[in-house]
Amino acid sequence: MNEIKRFLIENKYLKKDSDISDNDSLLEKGVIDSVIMLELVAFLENKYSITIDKEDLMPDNFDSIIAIQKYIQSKVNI
Amino acid sequence: MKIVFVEANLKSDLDRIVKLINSNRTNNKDYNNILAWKYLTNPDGKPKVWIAIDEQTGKDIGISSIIPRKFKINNNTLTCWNSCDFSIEKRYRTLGIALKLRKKAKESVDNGEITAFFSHPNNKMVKIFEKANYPCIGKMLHLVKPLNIDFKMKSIVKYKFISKTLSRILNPFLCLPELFISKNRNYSFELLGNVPFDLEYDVFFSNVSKDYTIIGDRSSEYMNWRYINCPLYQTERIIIRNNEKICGYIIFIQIEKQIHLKDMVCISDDKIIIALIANWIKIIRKRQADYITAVFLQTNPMIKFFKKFTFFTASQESAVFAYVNERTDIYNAWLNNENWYMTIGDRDT
Repeated sequence: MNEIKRFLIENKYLKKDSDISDNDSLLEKGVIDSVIMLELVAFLENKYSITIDKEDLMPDNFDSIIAIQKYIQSKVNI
Repeated sequence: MKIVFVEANLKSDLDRIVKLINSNRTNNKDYNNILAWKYLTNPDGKPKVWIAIDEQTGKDIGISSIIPRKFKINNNTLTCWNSCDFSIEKRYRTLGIALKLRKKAKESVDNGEITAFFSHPNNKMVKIFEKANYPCIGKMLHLVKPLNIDFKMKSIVKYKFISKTLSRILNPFLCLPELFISKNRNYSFELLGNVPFDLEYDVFFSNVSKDYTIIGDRSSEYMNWRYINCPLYQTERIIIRNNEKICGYIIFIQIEKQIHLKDMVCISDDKIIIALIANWIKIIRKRQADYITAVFLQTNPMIKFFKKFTFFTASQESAVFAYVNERTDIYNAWLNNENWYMTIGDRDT
């Protein structure tokens, strides 16, 4: 299981047996919202030692687990 | 994804705003009616509403609004702004748009369009205010007074008969604080339904506002808009008069067996404040209500009187944020909660 999914499950934003795929929209499915994003951002910044710019907090980067992974990858590779 | 923000034209854009709010709220409230009241009939002026639009699709994806409110600050009248509606389409709730919308009020203060802003948001929105760097000026304390211990007894004692008997024995003790208030023949009390405020209240507010550095307008015009014409709920109020003159009131609503204070103002006289609260509680007791709530900014001078009547501070708290243009002479006063007279009624609606 990837780190993002684990974070969502451990914090009870996602059920363990949820059928959400890595491509599904976390926003449409109601898994994340602006407030949960605050915690997710803090987790990602801490976990990957990156700084997430407020300008980057857009659906393009955070709508799905795949999108988040791609975004993190781009930040880590900088 | 490019998001643009535009300031709404209330005359032509009200339907857009209603549509956006309706699509993002799950309750059955009639937002057509509520927003028409809130945005178009406020005696203190028109609100500012910002709409976020996804430039690619042209779709409205979020709104944020602030409404004007007159304040007496050091006895001078100044229009300040209160945060109001906030809504974002589910698909766009990744914080970035929320922060940009939330910061619109701050930008209006910084560029001198408005002088000062405040907000008593719900707990979910608190985190957004913090992230948007609004200074928190204090906490709103939630005071609660149980009027009977029936519910508590039921949870402690298994057997219905015993819990009922114990409640009957102990409930009268909860009335003790009100019973020992001595009566003063000069005071009279009046319980009113949703009856308009008249000029008498203007005279009263003009006098009482001098006791506080910062107090939101409570003129009859404002109060009639805020409470009498409010489509959200119907209020009642108890008034205390001393030698025929109004010297304080409590506005409240009843929801089933709960009583919620919506606003309170009283002259700074301990005996009058105590008499007003005591008589209000006595009236409520006759309604078989379970409890009363009252929410005040932590520095509100009324809190100590409510505590005398065995109101306790609930663990639930909420925060107040304020922001002010640093070039104005109210800068220091606005950010110091000791200066404020604030009740739950100072929330947007």
